[in-house]
Amino acid sequence: MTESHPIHGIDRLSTFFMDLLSHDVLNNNQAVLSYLELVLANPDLDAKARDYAEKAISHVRTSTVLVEHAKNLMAARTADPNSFRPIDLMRSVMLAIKEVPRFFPTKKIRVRVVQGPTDAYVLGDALADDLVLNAFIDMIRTDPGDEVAIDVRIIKSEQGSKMCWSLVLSDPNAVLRPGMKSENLSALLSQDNTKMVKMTGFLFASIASHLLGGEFVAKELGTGQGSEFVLTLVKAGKP
Amino acid sequence: MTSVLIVDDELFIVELYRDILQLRGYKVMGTAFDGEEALRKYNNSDDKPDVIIMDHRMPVMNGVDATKEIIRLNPSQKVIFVSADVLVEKEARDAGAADFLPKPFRMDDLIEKMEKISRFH
Repeated sequence: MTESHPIHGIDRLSTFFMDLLSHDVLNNNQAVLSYLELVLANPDLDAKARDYAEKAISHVRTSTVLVEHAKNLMAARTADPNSFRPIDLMRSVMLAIKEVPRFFPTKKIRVRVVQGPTDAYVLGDALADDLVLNAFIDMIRTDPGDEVAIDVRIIKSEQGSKMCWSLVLSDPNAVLRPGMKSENLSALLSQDNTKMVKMTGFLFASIASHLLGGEFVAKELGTGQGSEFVLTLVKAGKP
Repeated sequence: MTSVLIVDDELFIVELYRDILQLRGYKVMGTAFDGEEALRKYNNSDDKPDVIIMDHRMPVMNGVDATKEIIRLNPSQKVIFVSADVLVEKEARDAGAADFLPKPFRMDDLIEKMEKISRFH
């Protein structure tokens, strides 16, 4: 009979492994980013090469976000939900608005905050910031145009007996990929996942919001009206 | 000329920071590969750096512990904490770090923070 480790021990080791893995990947990303900066610092660099280097930088950023997603999901799986710190949802939105253009150097992005209360605190820790940024990145990815216009609303909502805040992002030109239209995580699992591509952001949002007690839903708004993402997180008191 | 001590366990990172900072006109007065070495070099140097660039996850002594010790020795020492782990930011600031940058970052962002800190030095 073989001795087995308690499962929580394996979970903690797995989280530790992800910490180390992300540390190493991000250090390598740091090196790539810095070397590209050295290339860009050359005043004689031609426009084409400069463009290539700028695009490479945006891919480094995307790779960083992907690693962060994996690390944060792993940490959230083993964390006590009661330990999640309250996060100001509007602050997360403003951070994301500032950050997101760096991921899409060739797109012109306009974000309009239609409804943004300042008292929208949610349980979320750093994961909430990741979720909000991820929602913006995914929304922009689903818009095939070079010019993207997103409307933002933060509204009160309910999930069962839980009071929540929902962040709604809508884009009149966003086109959902088939896997995004699943009504819930179970429906998502029942699909042929060999056909699901470019879904890491959506899966991250679905799983992470679920771990935080909320949900992430993508909706088509009707012909010619685009789509919207709704990120719902449990309401928290002001810290 | 602003002087810098670079603390990071990855040789390629230390070399990169050193090369870029020197190109941008900074004086790299030393490097260290863990917190203990940083502390030793800091103690043994009469000429203290204007800014210390400090990583967190390092062997022997991590960045938070090294920062605590350095700030204990010299409360006015400016430390910019750089780490791939954003969750350590609060700990780093509580230890006395003047600022925090999550990895990976653009060197322009680091230099902007160094300039800001130096102005108030």
